[in-house]
Amino acid sequence: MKTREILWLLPLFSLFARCTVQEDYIFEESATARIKAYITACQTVITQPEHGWKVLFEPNKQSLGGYHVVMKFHEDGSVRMVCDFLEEESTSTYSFNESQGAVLCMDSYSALHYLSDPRVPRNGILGVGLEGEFEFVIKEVTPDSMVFFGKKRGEPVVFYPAEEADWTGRMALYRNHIEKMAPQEDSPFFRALTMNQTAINLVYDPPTRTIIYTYSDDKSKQILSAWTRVYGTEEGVRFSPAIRVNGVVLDQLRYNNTTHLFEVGTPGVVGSLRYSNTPPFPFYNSLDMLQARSTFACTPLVGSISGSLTSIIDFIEALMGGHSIYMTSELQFGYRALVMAGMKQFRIIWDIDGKGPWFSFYGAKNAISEAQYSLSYKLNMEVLRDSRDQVRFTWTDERQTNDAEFATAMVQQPGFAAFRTFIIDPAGFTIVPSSNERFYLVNLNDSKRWLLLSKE
Amino acid sequence: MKNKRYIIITLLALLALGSSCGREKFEKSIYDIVEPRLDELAQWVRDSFVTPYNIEVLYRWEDMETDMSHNLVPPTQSRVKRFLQMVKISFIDTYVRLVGKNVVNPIFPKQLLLLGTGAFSSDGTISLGTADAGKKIILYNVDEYYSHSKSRDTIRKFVHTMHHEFMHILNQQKAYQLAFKKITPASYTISWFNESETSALTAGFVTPYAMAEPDEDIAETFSNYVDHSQTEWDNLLSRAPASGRALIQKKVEMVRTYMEEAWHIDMDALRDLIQQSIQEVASGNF
Repeated sequence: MKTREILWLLPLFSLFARCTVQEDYIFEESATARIKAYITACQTVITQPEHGWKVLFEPNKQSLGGYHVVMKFHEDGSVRMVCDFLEEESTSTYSFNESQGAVLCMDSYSALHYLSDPRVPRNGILGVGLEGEFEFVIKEVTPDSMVFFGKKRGEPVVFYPAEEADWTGRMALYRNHIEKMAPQEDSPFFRALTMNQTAINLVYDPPTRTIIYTYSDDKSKQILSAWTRVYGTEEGVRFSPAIRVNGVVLDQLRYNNTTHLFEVGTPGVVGSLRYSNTPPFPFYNSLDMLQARSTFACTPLVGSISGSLTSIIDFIEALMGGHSIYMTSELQFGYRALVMAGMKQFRIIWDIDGKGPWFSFYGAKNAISEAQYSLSYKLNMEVLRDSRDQVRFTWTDERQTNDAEFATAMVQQPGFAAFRTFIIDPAGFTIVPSSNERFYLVNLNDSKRWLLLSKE
Repeated sequence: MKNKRYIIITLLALLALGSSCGREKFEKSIYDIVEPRLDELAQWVRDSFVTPYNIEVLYRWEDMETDMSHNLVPPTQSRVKRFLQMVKISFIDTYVRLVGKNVVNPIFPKQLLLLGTGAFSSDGTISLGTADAGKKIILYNVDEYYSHSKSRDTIRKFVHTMHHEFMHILNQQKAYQLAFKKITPASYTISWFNESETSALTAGFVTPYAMAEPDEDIAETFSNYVDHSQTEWDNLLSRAPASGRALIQKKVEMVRTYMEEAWHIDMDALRDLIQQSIQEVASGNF
């Protein structure tokens, strides 16, 4: 057959090729049309409740407490929020998109973003934040609840219709109570919670809304620590899991506006939470617990250490201001976050060669590098009582350094002098275990002067 | 006979053409094609970036635009305009004033993504900007800028970041000279963050970060040159030993040639405009 004839026959193939095969579709609409309709329905539901929605965020039940947020979504894409962790009411924006199904996205900064913000320090470290979410994959929507899971971490989140009271005072009440759990300025270090005849030492961490409590166990006669999450309530605070000490169970505290104290609210249990300058009980053998773990770094959660330098931030700023020779342009431009994120400027190394603690300052010629230069002074340590939980340090001239120039600069630092004065205070310290990895050194004369050591 | 055969084939072909499927009705699009209502900020962004320069600015959180491995948040919306004013004055306008819109529009990034914070990494470093595919620049830390927007050092830090990232964008469109990579080939290091300013200057780099790799080296050399006044630049070089200074100057000459030959941009004239723009932003009179 000639080429021309073949070309003429080509259109015949279109008889078989052109038409689409008739198929029975499972859905009447395309996937795009269906998800669009679903999002439209979600948009209707989310703007429906008169007082909006409320949600209890529990970003990580292994390490964080609970955060309440109330939100009113509007049809114009704006969303109003109040919460129990920020004072100001905020208005931001939201939208829906299609990625892992329908997704609700809080697309401009709001109270919810605060929980995801890497600038919020977590145990003194920047970058991690509070593991919040602001993109929510929609799982189920009804007028009574909206069920999501966080897009980043996958934790379930449920919105429930809010009440007027959530806007007019409930969130403020929650926040007010939970803020009172935070260590108050100029208050003594110890917070003794008595439950019937039992006293426990309670340390609350405001950003994470968690408590580490320490107590003397009746049976084992050992000092034990446990952990719980904290939630604001209208009456005070509640704990989950409940605090359990020597057979007593406590799951909430009520705030007494007359006495300004938290009181035990559990039936059959009498007690209150009070500040104290003296330890509520001996922290038996806490020195040995500390020494069993050799190297500790001081974290930025350090407390008051002297009149002029009240925190490690001040210490670092003193470093920054004092010796620019060790500072890079990043520091000069004010990248404080760089310093706060990765700096390990000083540490206490316990029991080197079995001879006792060394107090070491570490530094670097670049703010974001690992510390390369060190200056270490040996300390003498005296145990002050049989319970082996109180010690006193004295300075010795025995020192080690790997860079003479660094050592010369470091001893001239106001921060160095402040820490030296702090550590050799003749009053001595109570060693308060907070966990297996964290210990406080609390000045015996003035408990407001303390230092937190964290295991590296 | 032959013609008859062609007639039959032709008829069959016409039949095939005529037996096509039922006609599709073009109904309403399944996509949302309604022109969005623009609020005041969105309108300002459109008038200032989109219409004149074809640059899209993303200041609300967008799905899939960022790296999930970092904890990032969008900027506070009320802080966006002040930041973008700085971007326009000290970045966009400097190039436009120098070589004109028609020359720079095609080479400008086509998308600016703004984020509220820096990108914190586990090694302690914080990213302040990234450039992608010759088209997109991510600018971090918008909220920090707002808090210190009258500080010359703060402005210069952000100006530095923008011009640094723009150099990446330019390099992604036209490669720079291979010879640049051969000026200090043995001194690049992945642990640049352990280097000091002194060690960087000694080795022939303007900053420790320039030691990361040649691409960062040329971006740092360029951005430091243009964000420093002549006096500041001379001070920087004076802190370098002669050998390091010579290497840096060699790099600067190569960057100057690259900008001139590849993009017709006079780097010294650009620096003058950038210095003026930093003063303008710091004054707040715009």
